[in-house]
Amino acid sequence: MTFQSEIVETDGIQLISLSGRLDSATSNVFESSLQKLFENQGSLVTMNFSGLDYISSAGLRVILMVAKRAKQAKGRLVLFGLQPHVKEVFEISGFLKILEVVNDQAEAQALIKA
Amino acid sequence: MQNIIRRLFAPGIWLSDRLSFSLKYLLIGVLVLMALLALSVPMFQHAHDDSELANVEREGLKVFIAQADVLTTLVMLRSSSINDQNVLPSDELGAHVEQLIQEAHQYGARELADRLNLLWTQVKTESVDSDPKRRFAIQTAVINTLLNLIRESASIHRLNVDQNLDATFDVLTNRLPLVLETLGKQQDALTLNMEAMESYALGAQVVLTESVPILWSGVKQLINNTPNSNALKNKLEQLLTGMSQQQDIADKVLGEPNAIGELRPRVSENLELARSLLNDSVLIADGYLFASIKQYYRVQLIVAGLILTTIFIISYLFAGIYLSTLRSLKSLSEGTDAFCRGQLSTRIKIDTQDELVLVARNFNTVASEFEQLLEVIREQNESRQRELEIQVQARTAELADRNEQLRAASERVQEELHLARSMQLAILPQEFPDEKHWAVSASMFPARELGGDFYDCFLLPDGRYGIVIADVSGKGVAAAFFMAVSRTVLLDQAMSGRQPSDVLACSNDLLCERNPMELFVTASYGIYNPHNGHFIYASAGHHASLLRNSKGEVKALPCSHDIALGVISEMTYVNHTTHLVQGDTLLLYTDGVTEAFSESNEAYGDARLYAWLSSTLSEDNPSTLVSGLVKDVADFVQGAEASDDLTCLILCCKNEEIILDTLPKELSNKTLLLDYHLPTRVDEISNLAEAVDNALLDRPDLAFSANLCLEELITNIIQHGLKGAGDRLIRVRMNISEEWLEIILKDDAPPFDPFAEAPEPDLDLDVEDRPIGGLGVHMVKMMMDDARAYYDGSGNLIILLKTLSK
Repeated sequence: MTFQSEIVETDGIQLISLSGRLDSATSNVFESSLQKLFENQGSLVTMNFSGLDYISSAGLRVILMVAKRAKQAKGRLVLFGLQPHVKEVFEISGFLKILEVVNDQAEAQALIKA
Repeated sequence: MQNIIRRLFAPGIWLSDRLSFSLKYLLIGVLVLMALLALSVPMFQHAHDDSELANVEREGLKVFIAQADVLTTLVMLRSSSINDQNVLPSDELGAHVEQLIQEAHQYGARELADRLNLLWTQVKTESVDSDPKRRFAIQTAVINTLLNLIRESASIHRLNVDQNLDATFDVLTNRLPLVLETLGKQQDALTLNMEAMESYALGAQVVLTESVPILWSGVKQLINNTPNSNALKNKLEQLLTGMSQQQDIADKVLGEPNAIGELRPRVSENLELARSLLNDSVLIADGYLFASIKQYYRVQLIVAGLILTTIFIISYLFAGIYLSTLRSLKSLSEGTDAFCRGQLSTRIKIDTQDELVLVARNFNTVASEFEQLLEVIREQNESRQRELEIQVQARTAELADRNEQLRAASERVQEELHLARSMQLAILPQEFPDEKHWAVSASMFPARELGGDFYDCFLLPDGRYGIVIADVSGKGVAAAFFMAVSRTVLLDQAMSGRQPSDVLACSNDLLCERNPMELFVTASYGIYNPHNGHFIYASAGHHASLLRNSKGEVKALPCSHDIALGVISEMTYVNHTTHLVQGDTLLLYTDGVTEAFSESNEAYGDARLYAWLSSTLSEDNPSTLVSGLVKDVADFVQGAEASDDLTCLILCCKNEEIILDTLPKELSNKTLLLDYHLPTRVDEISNLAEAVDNALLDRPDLAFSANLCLEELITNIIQHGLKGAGDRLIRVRMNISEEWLEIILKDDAPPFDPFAEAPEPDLDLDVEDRPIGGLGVHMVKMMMDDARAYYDGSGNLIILLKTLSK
């Protein structure tokens, strides 16, 4: 159950799919894979959490960093497909209030294009 | 003109300016007296000289009388001795002649005196039988010498220069004796009856003839100067008639020589008349001289009387003028003195006619004007006084009114202050936690109605207790308001459960936002965890709290010197931690304790506080200690007025049980699910997670929570507790009962309470403001129902409880 992620770009929107455990051991790798994200102003990024089974504060840290960079680059970051316990972690951390989180990819596409 | 006069009299004015009135009068008096004396001296001298002269003349006259007497006697002796040769000069005559000679010696006619003496000796020694002619010649020589002496004496006695009787005296001392001698000689010559003698007698007639006018004018002078001298005049006329007749006879003899016989009786008669005239004239002249002398004396007396009278009159007048002036001046002086002493009705009355009346009149005018002026001023003053009194009365009434208002206002203020005090005291908690293992008590005594200190002890949402003590700068209402605001802000911030440093920093920012009076507050805020004795605290300019252990050792807790609240915003504060164990007593206090001053102005001070705290017993409960400290300070100040609010808060950890024994009760009927020794490396966590997942296969939700909490706590221990040391082991156990899942972590790190020390994240911040990290401990607290950390001496024990109910 190791962590995996891949980035696919479609119609100018980057889709990052996450799977496995995003914890203190794996968050560093994930963080480094996102270096080029939001290098361009106004980048649009969606993250698919449906494959992610586990996230700790170390993973949340990476997500917060990405969100900060999106704000700086005047881009947009939309998260979707969070499993219930992952969503609970987001809830507890107050991230649902500050991040754009939707149910599925269609909603994410619609939101990001709007 | 006046200048000229002034310059002219400058020396006199200068002298007068330097003399008093009495001296001025004395000076003038003396000068007048001297002038009078100077004038009178010559007058006296003159009168005196005149009288002296008259005396000399009279003396001369007296001498002359004696001389005339002797002369007459001598003439008679010569006649007698012709008729009778035996006639000798009498002894009496001799004595008279010798007296004349002696007197002549005395008044200076020595030569004549000696000659007379010589001739007189010849007369005396002439023998009786000698030749009559010779005797006649000698006696005639004596008579001629006497005549010369008479003339000399008259000259010496100044008889011939008398201004009134010079002619008279000439006749008396010169002409008349000559006539007398001539007549005597004629008589003697005729008696001798010799041819030669007859011609001699006729020749002598020439002397008589030429003497007539002289005799006339001389005797006439005497008659003119003396009244009642008709007898003398008659005698003169008789003599002159006789001499005229003698001349007639002499003329007749020239024709008929026999007529010579008629001549002798005529000569004898004339001789007698001449002698008589001489005697009378001498008497009258003497009387005249005597009268003159008396007259001179009278003149002297009159002059003296006049001078004395003049002196007396002048002195009298001067004294009068002096006394009058003095009286006027005295009146002026007394009047001005009395006026100056305040007797304003004084008027000076001077009855004189001099210039001082003008001075007095001017003074009286000034005094009247002054009195009138004073009267006017007095009237003005009185009216002003009345006006002022009315105003004062009005103001007094107004003031009384205001005072009443002020008193009412003051009462109102007092009432409100009293209310405020009650309210302030009500804000401060009077009930304190008194648990089995620990207890708190506190007290605040404001220096005035309202205090600026506050304390509090309150339960935080996570079961720990916030303990605060604070001291607002200043006293009174402003400090009380700021105290209320500060307390509200501080409690509000504290209730979030965040670290003391954050609570103080946020409170500081809030207090700085609105602080118009620029007050500030020193505060010490700590969080006490009664479960493990952990005490984390921070200080904002407040002095260190004191900790006494069970052995009675007192130490001040380490304390950062951070700035007081309300001074500058955006300040940071530093947390410190300590562990309270059984028997510990923690004292938080304000400087009202250490800076309580006795009457001798001595401060209570740190040393006394340390000594007092050291002397307390571990068994004491905090309320006893608080009242004990208050009493100790009160005993020290001895009723001196408090200068600052006195506040203290005491937390006692009771002796009864070890805190570690208060671990949650052992879960009953629990089953060990997992006992795992985890190497302290992050990449080992996934293995643990797999084990947990396997242990809780039927409850993946619990496994998720457990894994999340374990990961967070383990990364925390590795990072903060072990500082990244990877060669240790953390023991993880998991038990399950019917209701609870129990997760226990045990490390061998130094004391570290993640729940106390990790700051609470602010979940409401925006993306940009959210700090990276700081979420782990928060998530553990949120996901577990109970999360506690303990230090048991060998390491930290973390026990998490999670209900099994979904």
